[in-house]
Amino acid sequence: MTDPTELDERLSAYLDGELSADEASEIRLLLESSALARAEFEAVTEAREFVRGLPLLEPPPDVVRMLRRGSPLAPVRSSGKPARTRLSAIAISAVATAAFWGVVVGTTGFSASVSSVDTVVAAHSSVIPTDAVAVDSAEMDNMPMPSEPPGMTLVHVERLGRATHAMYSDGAQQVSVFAEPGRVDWSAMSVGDRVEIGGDPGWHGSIEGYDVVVVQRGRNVFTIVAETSDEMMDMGESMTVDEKTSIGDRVRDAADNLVQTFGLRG
Amino acid sequence: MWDEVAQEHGAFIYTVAYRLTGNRDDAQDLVQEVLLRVRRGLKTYKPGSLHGWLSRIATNAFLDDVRRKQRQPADPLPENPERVLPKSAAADEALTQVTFPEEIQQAVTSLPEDYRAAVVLSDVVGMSYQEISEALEVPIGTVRSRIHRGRSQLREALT
Repeated sequence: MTDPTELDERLSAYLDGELSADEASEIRLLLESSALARAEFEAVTEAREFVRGLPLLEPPPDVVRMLRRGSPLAPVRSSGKPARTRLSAIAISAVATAAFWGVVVGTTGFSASVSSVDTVVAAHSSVIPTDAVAVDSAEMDNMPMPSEPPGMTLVHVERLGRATHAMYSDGAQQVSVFAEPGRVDWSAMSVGDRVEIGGDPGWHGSIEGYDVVVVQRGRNVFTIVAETSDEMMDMGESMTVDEKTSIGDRVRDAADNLVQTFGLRG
Repeated sequence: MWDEVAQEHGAFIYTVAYRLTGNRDDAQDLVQEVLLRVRRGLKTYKPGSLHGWLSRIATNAFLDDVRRKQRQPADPLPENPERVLPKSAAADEALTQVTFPEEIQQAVTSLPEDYRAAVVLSDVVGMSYQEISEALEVPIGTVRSRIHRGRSQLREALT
């Protein structure tokens, strides 16, 4: 044991009970014979106890509210600039598979939402990426920011390859907007209704109780998704999954798993 | 149901996030990211240590963010022997220090992120080296190095 680095690392591992019996015996002999090793061991022990003695922290109200909603879409921080985090798997999958789920903007019926959808689509037209190359997430700081729909605040924006994803919140409801170049395969939209939004073809349907809107504007596709976490989890608790092929299925299954695993009630 | 999650695990999630990031705003962002990952990862959760699972998610989210921001690999293990084996403060000198949580947190925050993650998982969460190895996807020898070197630097910072 002539390597001092090895010695040092063994002292911490010894302290943590992470050495084999033979190695631990070596360290015990060393500690008996070396004052330097003993001093080192005591210092490492002290450092460990300092950290272990740190108290459990009470989360601030914003975090508590976020946790209670079970939602990552916390209110925008008072510092102003929205937090930019990576796209969730839900969003990634939604973009990748064009499987859309959620609740359409507004709750008063689709006809009342058409103008809102049109506004949102227009606001996002300027942020459609023009390249077809996947963009590293670190580059998103340079991406253009979409303007916010009336009454909503941008809390999350991300770019994934050819798609732009933005999330908004009005404090009660969360809305995601996916914008990407491409063509909608309308034949795949076997349920729901073909609609017109701002003169462009669109689709509005209900999937497992959730309304979804897809709009083809020019060469770009816009998908508007809103969700309320509790509603999603309630759905997850109540429905049975036969085929796990859609985003809704996976989310629902995850929610069901949560309920069963932790014995929680919706 | 999330009320119960918040009540039962909120303080733990936030504490781990704060210990890793060292400030309230970044801790809040990290909790946000943890929630995203929890919601997508629930399907793969296997009954066991929920705190361990949450800690792994938080730590990996933290390290992913660090690496994304740096756009380069995290600080490699130092080769400078002075960092590996800092001059030892006399044990009695170190033990007489009066250290406040804020100072300790500051020292924790000053650690290279990889060391910090290993130390937090070990000494805040209470994971074994094997568990940390699996959480961080590094060999146990690397865990051993990071924990020890992290503690060594902590001791330096605090004495």
